[in-house]
Amino acid sequence: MKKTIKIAITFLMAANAFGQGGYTDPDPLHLKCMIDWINQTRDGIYHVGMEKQCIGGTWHQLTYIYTFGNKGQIPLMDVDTGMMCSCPASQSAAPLAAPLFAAATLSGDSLGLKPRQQEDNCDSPIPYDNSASDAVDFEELLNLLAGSTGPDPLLGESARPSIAPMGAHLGTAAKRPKAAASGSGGFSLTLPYRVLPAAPLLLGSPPAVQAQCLASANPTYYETAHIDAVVRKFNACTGAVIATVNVNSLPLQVRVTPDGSQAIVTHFSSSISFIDTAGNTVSGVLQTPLTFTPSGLAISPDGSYALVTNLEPAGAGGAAIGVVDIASRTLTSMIPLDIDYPQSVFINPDATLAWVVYPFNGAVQVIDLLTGVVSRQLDFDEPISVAFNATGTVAYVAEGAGVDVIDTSTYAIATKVETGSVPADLVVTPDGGYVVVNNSAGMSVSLIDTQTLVATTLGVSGIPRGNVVVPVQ
Amino acid sequence: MKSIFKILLVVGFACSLWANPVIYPHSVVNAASFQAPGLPSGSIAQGSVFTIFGAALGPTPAAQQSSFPLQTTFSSVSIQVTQGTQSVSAIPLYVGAGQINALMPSNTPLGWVSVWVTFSNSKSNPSPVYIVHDSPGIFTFTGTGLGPAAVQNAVTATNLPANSNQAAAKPGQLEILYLTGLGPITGADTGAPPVGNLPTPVEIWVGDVPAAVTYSGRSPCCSGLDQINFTVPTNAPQGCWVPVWVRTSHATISNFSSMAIGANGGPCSDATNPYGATVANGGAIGLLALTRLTVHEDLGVNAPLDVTNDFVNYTATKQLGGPFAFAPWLSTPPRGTCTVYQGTGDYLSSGQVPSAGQAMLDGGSAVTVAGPTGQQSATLGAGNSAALGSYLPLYGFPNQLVLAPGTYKVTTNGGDDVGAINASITVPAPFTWTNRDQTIMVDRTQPLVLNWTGTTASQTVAILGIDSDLPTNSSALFLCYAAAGAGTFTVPPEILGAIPASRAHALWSNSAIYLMTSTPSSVSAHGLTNGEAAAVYIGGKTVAFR
Repeated sequence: MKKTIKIAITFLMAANAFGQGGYTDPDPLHLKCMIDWINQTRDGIYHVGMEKQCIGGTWHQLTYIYTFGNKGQIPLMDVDTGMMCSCPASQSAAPLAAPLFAAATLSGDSLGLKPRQQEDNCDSPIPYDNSASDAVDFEELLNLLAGSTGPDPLLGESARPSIAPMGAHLGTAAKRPKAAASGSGGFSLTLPYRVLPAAPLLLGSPPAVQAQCLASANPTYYETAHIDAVVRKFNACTGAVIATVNVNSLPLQVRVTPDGSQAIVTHFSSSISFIDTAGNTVSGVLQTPLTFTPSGLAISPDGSYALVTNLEPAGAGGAAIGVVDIASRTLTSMIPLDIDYPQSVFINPDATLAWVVYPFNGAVQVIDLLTGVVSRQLDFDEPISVAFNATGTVAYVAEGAGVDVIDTSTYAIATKVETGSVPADLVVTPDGGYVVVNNSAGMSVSLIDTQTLVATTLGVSGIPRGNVVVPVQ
Repeated sequence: MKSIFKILLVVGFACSLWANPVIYPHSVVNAASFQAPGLPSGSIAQGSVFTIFGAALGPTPAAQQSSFPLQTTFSSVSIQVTQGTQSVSAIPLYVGAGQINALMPSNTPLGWVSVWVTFSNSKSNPSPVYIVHDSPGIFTFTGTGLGPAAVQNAVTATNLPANSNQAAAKPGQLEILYLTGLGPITGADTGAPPVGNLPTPVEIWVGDVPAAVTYSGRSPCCSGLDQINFTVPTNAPQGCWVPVWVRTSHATISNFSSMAIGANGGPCSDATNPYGATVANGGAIGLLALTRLTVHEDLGVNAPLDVTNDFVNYTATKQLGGPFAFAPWLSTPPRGTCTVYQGTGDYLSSGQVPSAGQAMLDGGSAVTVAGPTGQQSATLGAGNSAALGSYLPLYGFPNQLVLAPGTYKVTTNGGDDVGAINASITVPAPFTWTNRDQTIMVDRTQPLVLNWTGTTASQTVAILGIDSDLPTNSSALFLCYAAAGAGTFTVPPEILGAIPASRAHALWSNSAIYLMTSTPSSVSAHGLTNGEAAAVYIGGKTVAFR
């Protein structure tokens, strides 16, 4: 019946995310400042952590360059005007308080969707902290579709949400009143029907249907707040924060185990947290060696292990994939990598291969998980994320100027689909009909039809930073 | 300058990749069955012959070892099988650029191993392979693992003709079946194989009837090649494509092959298969159908609902014929029996099952359907079908169904190969699958009973069960033919055992069962040897195989 699922995809509109799993995201108000500075000083490595402090009436960015372990204060400056970014009077002497991302305050403004001139002058109070916000977790939503957080849906004990004809309601205007009220809260689109065994072969256009998020399924997603050292759990239907979990410092990526019982979080501060999703508490922390900087995270389909990239230069004790046994919460082995700064990792559907992306080095490595050997290396322009079709025969790679469609038998690029600017997160809809792409620098979302391989790009009034597939009724 | 360097690096890397052998994903398979690794019999047995598909794996032209002792390096090709620090060398038997056939040593460690090919000192990527003690694969004359088995009729000790549609086996006759995967031998695999029964328990079925096994072990000719000598049960069904399959260790079921059985030997026949003669002898078959497909969806949904589609299908194929001819949907098992098709891909979504021995004909793409609810013109598209109407009782969708019971006039415009067809098709009231809603969880170790009413005694009910295992990109389906008048059919567990279990994660499997009936009548058209027009009703539902 998944063939007739109606998918609602929520695009969270907030600030930038440089990839699935979300990395240290410069605040949009200072994005330009930071990027320029980083490009000038660190040869394009913008993988930094930041804390904002108001010192002497001027905003300073306390910056971590994780790959080098440096830490310094950089006065924030508008690179166009050369003006320093002055602090708001109300916060002139204290570090920025936390934040700031709550459904109750969601609006175009609070999401950083400010007019250009306001964004440039850097004078505004920072309304929220989106730094290091993670991409929302798609797997949990898939799990919800399968009902895996409850009794086995195949046993008929739990109604699996989501059955409706194909078509998608994209956006959250209805669920985020304030965003909608500001006119910046999203959009909706009805996707065409697909010809599938158990789907209607309707002639003509289907009736306009406004799908409603299936609230009874309690779909959720998680985000990390890098600076605040919290992981927030959201109701995917309403966008409301369900829980805020204090975690170790500098959380980066979060993923939920297939059974829905745990959310696993990487921390730049050399640790990995395990959150009990029922109690919304940290149930364990795996401290990694100081030379291990956990970054990317992928959980095996059977939930037995997690792969975690060590975002370090290649070399002894450096770039690697750490294999974490989830049951014992131990780092059981390391797969050394020979390229600097492996950012994110993605496991193919049958868990035989891991695709590691190196945006700073323009490469993707395909790792054989049985041997730890690089099976193939592919070159891309700043690849950020990877997604697969259900059978693993096709991989989609988001890179600088679009999404590459890869035949995983030969690793040949079947085609390159143009999307919006800087495509980041990729999600293949459960029916396999579309790849949803949020364009992190383009204020747009692209839908790639997997049959025609043509993208439809839709502007959104904000910078999408993640995709959530939610069940609908 | 940096960009140029990068480009040169890429070019250089690409060149090096071009020269390296590449093993494709999921492409180390049993050399007889080609079973996808995700299927129940998709593992590789110790001492069996297996196939590697890829690129730049070996020389062009291909070469084959032909004498003992076999070498572990042949034509600059060697194959390493590793598990941790342990390594054994597989024995290449046939080496070519796109394919290697090799012998998995009997002392290969069990469990997950990595297979690597080295050709002219260039090493491939590793490919994960699961090694088991036994996993049978029957060789077939189609070379696909489907259709007529490599089996000889033992008429006398020296008269051993291949079983074919021209040389059917008689009930009670001794047969010799060739396969690989019965298990390891003691001693080296590089020498002539030892003769004698292997300890692996072996069962064989002929048309769902167990057959007596008189020998199961290596064939004396060739390393890794096994043979089973068995007797055709006297109560085995007769026909041109009687299913034959093997189970080892009471657990692992082989691919499903077929053999011809007739009371008197000689050319086979099957009165219940209207297409059999054309498939065997060659000719053009045209099938025109008005089809209603209703799928009851009650797994993973908020509330059960039925999705119904009406469509018209028209397929014209040229059957090449021959003693080992086989077309999966036309070479049907005898009524009262089942067969299984397995392979790579998502059968349920694609509808594609490996086929051989037939070619598509152009019979035109324009179809007109006129009946009680009016007239529609349609253009055949993907799958040689065109939608006529649909109904989904949800969200206020309109009921667009058109195939109400009654008589319809259906015409095709004809094409380059087949002329126009004018057919009259009577759509009856659909039958009722009476235990449909109770058929949800299918225990593959127990008989599956299916009941229906509303059919006529002369009809045949086809039963199709399918599971596509998406993560491994593999599928298996069972296809049974039952006398409609019986009103019931039991799918035996040894059939269900060949279907992979549905995944606990519902999005990772496509699983369903369909019951189908048709009311065919002959039609004629220029270029057709055998034409049929029919009203087809398919009732399906989602299930989970456990």
